Amino acid sequence: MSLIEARDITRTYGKGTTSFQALRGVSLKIEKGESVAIIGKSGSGKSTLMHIMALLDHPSSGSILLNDQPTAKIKAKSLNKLRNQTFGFVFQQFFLNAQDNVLENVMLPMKIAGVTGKKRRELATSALEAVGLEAKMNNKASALSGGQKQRVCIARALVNNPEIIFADEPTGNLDSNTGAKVEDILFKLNREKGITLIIVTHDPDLAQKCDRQIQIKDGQVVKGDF
Amino acid sequence: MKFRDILNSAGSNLWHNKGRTLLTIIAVLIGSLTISITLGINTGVNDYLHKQIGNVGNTEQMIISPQYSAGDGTGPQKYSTKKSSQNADGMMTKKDVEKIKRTKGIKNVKAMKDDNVEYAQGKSKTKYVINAQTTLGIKYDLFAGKQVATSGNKSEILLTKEMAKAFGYKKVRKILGKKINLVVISPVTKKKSTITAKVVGIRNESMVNSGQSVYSHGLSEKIVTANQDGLPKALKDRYTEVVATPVGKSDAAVAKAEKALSKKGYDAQTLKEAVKQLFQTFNAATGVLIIFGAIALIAASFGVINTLYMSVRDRTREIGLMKALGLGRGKVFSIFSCEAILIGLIGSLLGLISAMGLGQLLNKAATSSFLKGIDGFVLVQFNWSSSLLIVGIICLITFLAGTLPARRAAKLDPITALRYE
Ligand SMILES: Nc1ncnc2c1ncn2[C@@H]1O[C@H](COP(=O)(O)OP(=O)(O)O)[C@@H](O)[C@H]1O
Ligand SMILES: [Mg+2]
Repeated sequence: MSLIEARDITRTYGKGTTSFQALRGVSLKIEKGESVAIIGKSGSGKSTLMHIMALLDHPSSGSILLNDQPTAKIKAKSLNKLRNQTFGFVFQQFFLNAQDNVLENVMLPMKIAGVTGKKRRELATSALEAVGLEAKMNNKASALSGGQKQRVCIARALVNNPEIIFADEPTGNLDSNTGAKVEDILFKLNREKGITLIIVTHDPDLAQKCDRQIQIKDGQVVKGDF
Repeated sequence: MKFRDILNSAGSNLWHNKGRTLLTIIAVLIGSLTISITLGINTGVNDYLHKQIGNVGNTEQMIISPQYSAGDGTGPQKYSTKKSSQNADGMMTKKDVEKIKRTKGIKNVKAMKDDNVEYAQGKSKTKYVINAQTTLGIKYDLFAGKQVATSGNKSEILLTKEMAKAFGYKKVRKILGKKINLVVISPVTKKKSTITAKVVGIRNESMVNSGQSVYSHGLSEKIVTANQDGLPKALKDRYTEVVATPVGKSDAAVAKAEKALSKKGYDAQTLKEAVKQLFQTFNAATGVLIIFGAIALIAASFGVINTLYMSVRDRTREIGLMKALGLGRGKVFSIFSCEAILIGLIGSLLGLISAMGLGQLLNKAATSSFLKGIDGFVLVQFNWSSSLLIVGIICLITFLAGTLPARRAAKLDPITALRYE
């Protein structure tokens, strides 16, 4: 049994003469607790694939199975809940709310889940401890360095205790030192908490640190699974 | 997402864009202020008129006059039994009174004769012209004393406060029980007769029959007799006014009696209707002001739409992220609707508070100028129900204006919002 399975996924953007096929039949399986790198050149379709696996986007054809269950027919409300409870997201750009403080930013997924009061603060604080930023809790998000911001994003992805963290170019905007620190945190979560990691990257060094690499070229898997 | 967090998100976003929030709120405030102050004046005036009707009592009393009089100014009119030149001066004859008496649906028909008084004189000896009417049998709004006799031959009079002062009584109550003289000069013989009248009451200054003194039945008869001195008998039976009471008190019964009178060529109006007409004229005037307020509100709602579109644009990434993290469409819609309603709520409340402040100033200005001496008239008044209604309606308007941008936000695709290149 695999955690996520993609079956012959295609994704076409646009219609008619201007249409563009970003994915051309991608199939892959990811097991629970794995760390997987999706690697490929810019424009090869990595982000598109990740969005579809994270149920943020629908494939033009093919299907995504979660714990062997097809996901196509899940209703919007359950889908929202599923994303909120089982997925965590880290993006290349941080998407932090600049005017809010660090704690508020980390609490966002819990606010969305409707968790309130003390519990929300406690969980957010422990997520910040996991990334070593509990001291910055009350700072404005805009006052942090790039590496710190990305660690806040990891804390935010972590706070709802997800099964999978999707990270799209998590070190793309960081220099190698701060990038390494972010990577360490992610792999530590994978090892210690058993969180499945799906990392989209074009950095071969980062990809090598993962259990498995899936290479994408022009919307197709060229190396790795299948 | 819990309501508190939605409210928080909306509130903090308004706060982070203080400038444009303030401008939009001011637009709403202007509309709210206009409508609130207008409704305040409306409430004040209607409240006063209601009080007046309540004080008067017997407001079904009808005043009947001929339909045709020269005062109509509608050019030559064809003669008919209903329209005779006899009535051109607005006076009625014995025949008219008989006809009116035979009309169904009215009782206690009383015909009033000419009761001109040349001048009135009191303790101060200064001669004053007097504007008066014979008692209609209604309860006049009194400051002190009692009503005049509606039958018998007692010579009693109600004066206004101003008249009492003019007659030399600084403390107006002191005039109660005192006598004043009314001097009548017959238009025919020029004979001068002096009639004494006892002041039994002082009228409150009022907008209904304002400034008029009131004669008792007996006093009126004496004045009429003095007026008719030397008049040929045939001319004595001319009446200025006929009053009657409808048998039924319901609006329908009154209307029926009026229709019957109209068929015979007479106009009839009850006091209640006269006051109602005053209401209607006034309400029409305030209606226009309310339309101005409404226009201001429409302009303000465009402001709200604009502000929220800006807000949606500014927060595109944030909305995208929240949707990616599992926030449903409905909740996104609520956040922006909340923003719109908050603008409406703050704007309308500030408008209401400003209206209350302005109302106090207006009341002060009014009582010391054009409402001077009119008792029990508070020009601008607010009541809870209409104030809440205004706030509610404005919140509803801003909510509706906010639905357009809120829908755009709700429909945002998280991937498009989060894409970076
Ligand atoms: N919304 C879109 N409309 C049209 N083309 C798109 C859209 N999103 C992505 N693409 C195209 O699809 C291809 C794959 O994009 P993406 O998945 O973002 O690549 P990667 O993440 O590997 O750089 C690119 O050529 C990109 O231009
Ligand atoms: Mg990408």
